[in-house]
Amino acid sequence: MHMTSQTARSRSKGAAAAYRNKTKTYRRVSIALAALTAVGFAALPTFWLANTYQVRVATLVMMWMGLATAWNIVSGFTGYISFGHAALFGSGAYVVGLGTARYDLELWVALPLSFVLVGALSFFFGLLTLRIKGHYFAIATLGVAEAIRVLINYARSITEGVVGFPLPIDLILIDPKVPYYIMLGGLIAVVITAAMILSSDFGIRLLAIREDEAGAEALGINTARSKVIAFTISGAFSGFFGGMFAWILNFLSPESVLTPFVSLQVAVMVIVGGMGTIVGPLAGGLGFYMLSEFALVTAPRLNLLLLGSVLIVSMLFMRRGVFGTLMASRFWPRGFRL
Amino acid sequence: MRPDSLLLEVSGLTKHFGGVVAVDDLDLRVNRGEIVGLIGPNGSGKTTTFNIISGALRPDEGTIVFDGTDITSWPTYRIARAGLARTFQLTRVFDEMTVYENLVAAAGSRAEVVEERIGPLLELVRLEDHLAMPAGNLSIGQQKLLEMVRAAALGADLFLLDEPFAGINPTMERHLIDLINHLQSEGSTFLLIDHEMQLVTELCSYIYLMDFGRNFAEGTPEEVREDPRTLEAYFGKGYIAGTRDQ
Repeated sequence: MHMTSQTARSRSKGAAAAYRNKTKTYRRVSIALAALTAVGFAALPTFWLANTYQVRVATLVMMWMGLATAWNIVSGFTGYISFGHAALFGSGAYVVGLGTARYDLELWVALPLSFVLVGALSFFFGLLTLRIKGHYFAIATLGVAEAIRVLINYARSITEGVVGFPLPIDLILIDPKVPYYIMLGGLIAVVITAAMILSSDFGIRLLAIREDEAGAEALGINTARSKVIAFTISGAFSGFFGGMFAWILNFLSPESVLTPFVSLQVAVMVIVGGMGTIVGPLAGGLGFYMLSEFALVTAPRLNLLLLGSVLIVSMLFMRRGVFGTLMASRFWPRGFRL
Repeated sequence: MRPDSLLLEVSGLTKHFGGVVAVDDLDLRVNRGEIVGLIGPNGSGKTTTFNIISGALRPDEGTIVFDGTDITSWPTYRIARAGLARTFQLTRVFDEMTVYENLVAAAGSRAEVVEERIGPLLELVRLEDHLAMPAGNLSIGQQKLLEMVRAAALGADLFLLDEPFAGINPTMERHLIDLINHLQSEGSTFLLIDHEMQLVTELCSYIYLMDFGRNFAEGTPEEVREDPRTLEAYFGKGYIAGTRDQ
């Protein structure tokens, strides 16, 4: 009796240890892949991108990849679909825009400030909306986002309303490679954050909420707290990318950063790429932005049609998105989250 | 006869849904180390009682004292952390997470102690080779076993099992009984809902019979089985009257 329980213990410990070793290998593979990609992006402006336009496009590609990753931290991991990220992105843009144009802040102060202030805003946004479950949450986020847009529209004395305002001229004159590398830094930071969350105990709690919130609650998980933390992290990064966008755009109006279209686009990127994965939002952001840029250049009026078609086809044939489908297939190693 | 170290005491529990009284002035006592059965016809309020004890529903009246602490109306996650775990009638494993991740979600961390404590249980129910498998790919019986082990990973003292034996094959049923007996031998306590009189008699040392949300009868399995109120609860007053006429 004693002997059998001893061998049982060592056998199961062996199985658990083998599983852990496998996940360690997966982690090493992911880190190697990520490092290679980062080096590739870092080398791009020197070796491949020929002119300012291309550097700009590459910068915006990284911005969408980063924003998609940030959105994924809350919506992909916990399953709470946010249609309000335009508000967080837009608020970040207004922190940098108003900070530099109206309050004479240095850009190097305004950018971190967009991260911190929008993080704080997201905390309250999350407290307010995350009690609402399922589809109602999505609608609530849309509502709160619209409220923020209207607020900025009407606070004309500060924000210039719908007319908008330009950013200081000296920001416009900075070499476009500077925002490129800062954006790359932001992208690396958000991807590392997302990957660390996904491979942590906290990440497992978030996934449990996505799978079955009541079940997670019954296992001692403080779901409300976990969701608000995820939302705050997601929002802080969204704010930062918004701040970067204001700088790159050089001109700020609600129309460019606060429309529901921004929320929708980032959601579609992640859904098509693969929710809850790390590469999904990156691939979705890259593919989708390149596609829409291509569509905009070749068929300006048809780009929305094209994007809509991609979404419909993806929903019909790949509910989990490209990488979600791949990772759920039997060819993919079990427990390897990439 | 019953061990006398009180672990769970439910008194005067009442819950209305609109005009319907789902649970009506219910009293339950579960002592440490016992396996107590909660039986009764469909709709008699058993699952509602579980929902209230585990914090998913708030009672209109009554108190729930667990391990000396009044946990009435605590949030679900706090009740779970206090050591009161439940399983569901329909299994609720996290389908797209691996078996290992399911266990980590319950245990709270990947710490070594999880494997130390949980390993033997996984071995006992033959799940140890499925750690990397998505839980949704397990059979229903295996999912029930995983749910149990997961509740153990949470560190539960008291398990509320809602029809653990419904819809699983005899092999899985055997594993489940072994697991319950094993956990009981390590000091765990159980309150379980089931319809299978044979199993309840085999497992439980004490039984509560509910009907219309109330305590209808209680006692050892033999006492409850012999009690005319049991037949009345399941088959109605006419049945009793019929037998008496013969």
